[in-house]
Amino acid sequence: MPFEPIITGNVGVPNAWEIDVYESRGGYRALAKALREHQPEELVDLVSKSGLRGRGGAGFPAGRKWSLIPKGAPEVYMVCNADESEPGSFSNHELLDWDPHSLIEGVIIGSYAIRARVAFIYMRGEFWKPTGQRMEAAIAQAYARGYLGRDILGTGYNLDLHLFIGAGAYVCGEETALLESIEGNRPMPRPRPPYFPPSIGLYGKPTAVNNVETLANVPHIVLNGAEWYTRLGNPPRNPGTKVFSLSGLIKRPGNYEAPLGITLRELLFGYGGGMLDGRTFKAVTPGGTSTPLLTAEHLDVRMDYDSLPAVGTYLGSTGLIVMDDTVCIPCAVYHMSKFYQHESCGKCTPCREGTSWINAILYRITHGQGREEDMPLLLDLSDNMGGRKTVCALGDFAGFPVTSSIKYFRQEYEYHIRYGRCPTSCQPAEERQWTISQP
Amino acid sequence: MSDGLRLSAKTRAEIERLTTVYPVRRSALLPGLRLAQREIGWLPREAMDEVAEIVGVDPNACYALATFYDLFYREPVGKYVIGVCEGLACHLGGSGRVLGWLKERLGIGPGETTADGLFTVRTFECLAACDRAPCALVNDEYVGPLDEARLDELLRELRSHPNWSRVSGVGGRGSGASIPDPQYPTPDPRHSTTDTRHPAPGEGRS
Repeated sequence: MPFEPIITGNVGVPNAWEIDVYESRGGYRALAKALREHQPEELVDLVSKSGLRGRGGAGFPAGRKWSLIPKGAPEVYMVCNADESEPGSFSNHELLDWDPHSLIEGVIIGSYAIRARVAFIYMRGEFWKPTGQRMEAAIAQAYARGYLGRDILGTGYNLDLHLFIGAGAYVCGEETALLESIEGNRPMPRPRPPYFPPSIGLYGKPTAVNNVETLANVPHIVLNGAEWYTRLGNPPRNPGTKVFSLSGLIKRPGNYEAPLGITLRELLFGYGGGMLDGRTFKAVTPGGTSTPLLTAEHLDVRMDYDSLPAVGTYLGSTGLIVMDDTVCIPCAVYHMSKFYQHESCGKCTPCREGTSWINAILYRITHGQGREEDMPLLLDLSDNMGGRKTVCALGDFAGFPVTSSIKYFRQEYEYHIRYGRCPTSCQPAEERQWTISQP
Repeated sequence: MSDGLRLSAKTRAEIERLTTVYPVRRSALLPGLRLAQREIGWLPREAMDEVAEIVGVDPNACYALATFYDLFYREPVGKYVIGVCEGLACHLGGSGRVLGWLKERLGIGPGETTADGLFTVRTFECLAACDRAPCALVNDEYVGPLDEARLDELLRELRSHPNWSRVSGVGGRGSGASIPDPQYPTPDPRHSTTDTRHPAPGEGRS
């Protein structure tokens, strides 16, 4: 099927981040149409009808999220989550580098749909050169052209847009932690109930928090209609496209926009060019390391919000880190566990303690000191961190790579525990001293 | 007089302005700390106290943020902070080798600073540039994929160009751009983070 990229259409276009280039390619036409021809409620309906689902990972219908904002609330906020920190995901990063205006346009339309007067783009702290700089410049350009500020395009609608830059914390990608961060507090997630952002969000006011890619889709839906969108991808429940980030041991790492519902095989071996020469595929993180692994037996699974849960994993933020037959799975999972141990915010005991325990146990397994009881202990710990025992899902995330790798690669753990070394020669000892430190 | 621990009048004024930009004054705290670190290079207690005073909160609020976020330094760091990404993709791509080369060349491991104060080596969790693995964030600049030759070139460049990237640690105001400001820095195309390996339209699509 011939495939026209939708949201990455401007990636690679020289100076795509300049407003003149963006406008010359049809930019801000959707904004004019939305503000002049539609009432806010009509836009919420339009996005609901399109079936667009939140691209941050959970796949919550974007239109429904907007419709949860109480009508007539005096103070409402729109927040764009650009804190892309999931290991393996780098699609927002590239999109923001090249096409900041498409996000700004989406943010303005979304803000209008929920009648917000102030919007924020929350970008992770590491994205400054050139990502943050380009976004700042793009916002200034949008103000200068009358797309932001007072009386936008003469319609009487006012909107202020702030770029808010974080300072390095994975947990800020969690929507309530992100709001805490903007409020100047330690970014620890809030319990839900009662702190559902559409009811009690930023500064205690109703707030819509949407992912970059979700909002970047909105102008295209406004221009082409909901009907058009529902025919893309894997309708009816998974319409549209997704930007998949391929990395790890694969021939052509990079971002690829593809229809939702594409098979894992086509993604890895078509778009990604397949494995490195002489290697065979072993495992992949379908949605960043925070999703259970997939293996060679899953190559024909369709990548969308409903097909992946059927095989026990999630689409997440579509960061596919590819591991081939040279990779020792316990060592790779040890690396993932370091991340969660470092990024757990410490609010909930199961996650704060559990991530450290898992890290320490994986350390001893991968260092020739594994014990017979370690595998049941890892499974027990993962079980005690997951399943809504913590305020946010970080505890679940930390357990996913552990439980799924034990499910599919139990023999590698057994080998490590029995013989005290890797079943594959995954890493030379002289490197190991730098990458593996005593927890 | 500046003792290197306090904020200049200009930075104080910028933070002061930030307190009026956001709907709630306290939202200026995180951007204020970023500004403080941009000026001083790290966050001495004196500077945090000043930020707290300008924003009008207890100094503890500043310490709470400075101890949480990865990009805030509570001790002096080298002029160039080489942050090697240790995410899984970079690990598979050889971030361990990069740290080994740095140890050979600079004599320091993660968390250490060279005696001449020029380099600090640290690690990052995933930097969201996995297609450039193994990558690193050097002050504000993304570099990668790194091999031995490119790392040597980078170190040579850092040593020979004293103003390669003046800002240590966190760059940027991260401020509300709602008040258009003619002083926005122009992005330097030489530092485009986009890898040339990104496929042309059509390429790589089956």
